[in-house]
Amino acid sequence: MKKFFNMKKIISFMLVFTMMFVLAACGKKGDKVDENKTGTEEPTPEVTETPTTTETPDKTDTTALAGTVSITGSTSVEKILMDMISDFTAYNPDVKINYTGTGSSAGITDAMNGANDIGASSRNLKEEEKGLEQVIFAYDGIAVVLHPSNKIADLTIEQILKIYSGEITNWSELGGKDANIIVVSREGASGTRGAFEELTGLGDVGLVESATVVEGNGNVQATVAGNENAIGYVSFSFINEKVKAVTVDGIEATPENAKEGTYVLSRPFLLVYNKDTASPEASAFLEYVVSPDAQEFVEDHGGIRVD
Amino acid sequence: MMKNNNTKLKDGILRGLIYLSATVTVAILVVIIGFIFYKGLPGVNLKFMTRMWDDETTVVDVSRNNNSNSHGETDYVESLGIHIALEDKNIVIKSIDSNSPVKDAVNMKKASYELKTGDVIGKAGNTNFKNITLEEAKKALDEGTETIRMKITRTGGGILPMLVSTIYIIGLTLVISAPIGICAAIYLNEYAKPGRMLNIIRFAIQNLAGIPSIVYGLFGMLVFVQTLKLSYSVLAGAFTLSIMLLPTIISTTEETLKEVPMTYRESSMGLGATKLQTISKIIIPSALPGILVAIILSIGRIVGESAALIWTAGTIAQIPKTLVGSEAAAATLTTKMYWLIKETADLEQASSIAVVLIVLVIALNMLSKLITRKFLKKRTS
Amino acid sequence: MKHVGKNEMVAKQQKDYKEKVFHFIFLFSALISVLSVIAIIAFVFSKGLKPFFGENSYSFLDFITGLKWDPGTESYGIFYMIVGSVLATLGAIALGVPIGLLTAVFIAEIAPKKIVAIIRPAIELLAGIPSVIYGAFGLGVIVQLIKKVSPTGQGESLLAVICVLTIMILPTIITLSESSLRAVPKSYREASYGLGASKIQTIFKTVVPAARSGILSATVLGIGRAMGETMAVMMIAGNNIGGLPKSIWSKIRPLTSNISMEMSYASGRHQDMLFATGVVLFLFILVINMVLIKITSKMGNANSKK
Repeated sequence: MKKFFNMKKIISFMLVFTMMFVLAACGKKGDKVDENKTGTEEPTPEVTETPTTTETPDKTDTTALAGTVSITGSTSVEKILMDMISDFTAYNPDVKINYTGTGSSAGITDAMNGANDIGASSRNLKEEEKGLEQVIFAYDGIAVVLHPSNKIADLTIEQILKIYSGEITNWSELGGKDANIIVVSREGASGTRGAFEELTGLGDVGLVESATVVEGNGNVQATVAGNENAIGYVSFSFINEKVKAVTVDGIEATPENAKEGTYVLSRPFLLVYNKDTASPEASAFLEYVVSPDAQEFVEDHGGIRVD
Repeated sequence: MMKNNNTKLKDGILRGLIYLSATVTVAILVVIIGFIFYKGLPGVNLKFMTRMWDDETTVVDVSRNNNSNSHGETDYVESLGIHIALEDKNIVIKSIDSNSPVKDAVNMKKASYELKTGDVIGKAGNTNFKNITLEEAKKALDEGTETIRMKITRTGGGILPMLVSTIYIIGLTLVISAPIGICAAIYLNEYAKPGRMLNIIRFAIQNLAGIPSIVYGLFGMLVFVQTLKLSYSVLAGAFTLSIMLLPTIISTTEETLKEVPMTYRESSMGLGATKLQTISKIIIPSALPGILVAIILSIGRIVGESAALIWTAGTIAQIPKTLVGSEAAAATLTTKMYWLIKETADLEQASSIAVVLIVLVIALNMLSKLITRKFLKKRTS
Repeated sequence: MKHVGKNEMVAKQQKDYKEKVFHFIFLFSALISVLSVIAIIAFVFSKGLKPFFGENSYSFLDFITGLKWDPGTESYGIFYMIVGSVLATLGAIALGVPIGLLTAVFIAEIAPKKIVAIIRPAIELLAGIPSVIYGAFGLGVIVQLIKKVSPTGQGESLLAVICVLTIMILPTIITLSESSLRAVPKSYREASYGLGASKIQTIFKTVVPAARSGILSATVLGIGRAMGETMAVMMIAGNNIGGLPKSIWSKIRPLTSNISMEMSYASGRHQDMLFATGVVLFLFILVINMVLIKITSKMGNANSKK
């Protein structure tokens, strides 16, 4: 009989555990909602019930900031943003900033829905997204990269367009050796691909069907580094000894040229937010990203400073 | 005679093919393991196993020592009791005296944050340590007010968060799916009578087993992450994996329940025990090793899973602090390995994680072998 | 009838109550699997079929027969992916089943115990290696090797996918075939030897045919695994945005890799279309499962007849 009760206990423990998780899940759901100040889409009762007044005194009493800021969006900005976040939170240890790379469009949509505090984007806002406030914290250049052994050093923007649309298929057409061009592109909806297609005009003609499509800047870099006839495009921060960046229209792929606008394949990195719902922590972080301390990190990762 | 020769030739060819196939199978394994270890083993060391993934930057205040016992060394900071060195253009703490005040450093929250050897000093007072010489650094550290404020970066590059997250997800998943799976197996083997109900349940389990993990990933993202708003979290990941593992746990447990001899049940019932008592006192204890094996098999699958976890638990390298919400997102070893290849093209570091994974898989396989063997011995004796 | 004390009655009632509660708990646990399948189908299908209904809907025919996938220009065709997935699966089966079956024959019929003790854990290890590691291996070794011989000058190809999938389904084929070979009664072999057949003849003329339904179900299971494999194939397939594969050197874009590649970025219709791809994949798997269930139930019948 004794053993039987043990068994029963074990089973009931397990059940209680399971239930606790479910309950915890429900509880947290509420927490998350008021943390993020969501509610534009579906105003849950928690939002209205949450006594925000109990929070504010702490904040005004001590000047220190406290709370969680969630950032979602472009993965291109990850390296820079992660460094900025860890620096910012070092000075403000009660602020927790979470960044999830979901892609620019998702990040902007989240910001419009109030699903995050700040959206990160690696493209300019579209007309229908203009309701959001934006802070440009860096510029990025997209480098067209080849295998280091490839003799071609310069490509015009037209040539790049023709390679990617499938009009030019052999390196000999560009004065290189007689070999098929291996075109490497990014997955659909990637911010870098979007920017590349927009800046080269590829969006209107469309990518050649036989292009190799890989996920992530790292995979592009690896594919190009592994094939002497490949061409790809990556953020400046991914240029290294394994791949060679060509000059575009004779202009070298350098941060200076990109910021001046002479290098055509460049784009801004920006953070977008909703003016009305931005928390003090989010606002402080948005101020911080353009400060000299933060801009150091932009430079560290091959980005272009805004100051 | 001709025919005989012909048969012999045929036999020989087939025999050759058999040996060839077996050799190919083993060779493939050797090549894969060899490749992974060749690429990854150099990167596996204590730091790799115990450090955090991301660099961690903290600002600390240190109250200086009064007793200055100047050694006159160029790399020694008397007032802080530390030796510093220039590594990769960074000023690094090389060694710390036993009575050094940096051991009592506090962060901006006034919580203790002990500095350690290997920490990089990024800033002291108002001096930025970027591209600084050792002399300048020493001067900046020695001068100034009673308390010195320093920006410290603790280098990451380790897989500790992923190890912890993997364990969390294993634990959570098993807590959810093991009781359900075992109870379901008990129902199927002890209670269910042949009929429509049983057919439906079996059909469902068989289908569940065949669904690819990417579909579980889609489902988990849609239901747990988005609809139930658990966000990318260990709990969302664990729920998804729990469903995915049910067929494994149910069928393995059922197998072992089937092996419990019918006479056990009959004699227990004959002694007046109820069905429930028979199950809890006779059947489960004798099926326990098999249930254990089912759990170990499940752990193996959790460790290796990626497609079902990337969109439910996320790919952030952090030790989860809660079960849901943004602090609960967690990359397991496998998802981080994939992320590494995708985002950094660093096959070496990815292989280092793979080495850890392979060692884990081998250990789990051996453990299940050990249990089965012990179990069998007990049975036969 | 003996008089039953009141206390005993209460105890018995409690006992009955307990029995009932636990019976219900066990039943409910078993039903969770059913609920899960229903939930998976309901959620994935409802999202995946959304783009084909209502206003501004996308033609299902265009989706299923289309040869181009370019979310930027709103073209979502997956026919070339279906072809790619099917070809890769067939290729892997064509290579994996013979190799797997012969290895199983080696383990079950030929190899001495000592060698079995080495080879079997090796196969279990092969089964336990995470698919991401196979992907890394494919990227680092197989793709590089194929690049050297391919006329296209590129390693990412149908062939690379077939190679990796073959390796990945081997453990499934071997373990299942081996156990069905072992299940063939000894008397079969003895009868064959008695008729003067050699060992190899016995194996291929008697044992393997007797185990064929087990081998068949191993094959079907292998098909399911190959079709559903995601992470490993995604890294090595090339994932072209359109066009049917012309040879084994062509790039393909398996259904699974289409989903996983764009899932983290996609939103709106694009995301729904990825779920629609998931629905198509799911239907394929469902058919494979049905076939498998048919085979196993037939096997059960055959066994019971014996």
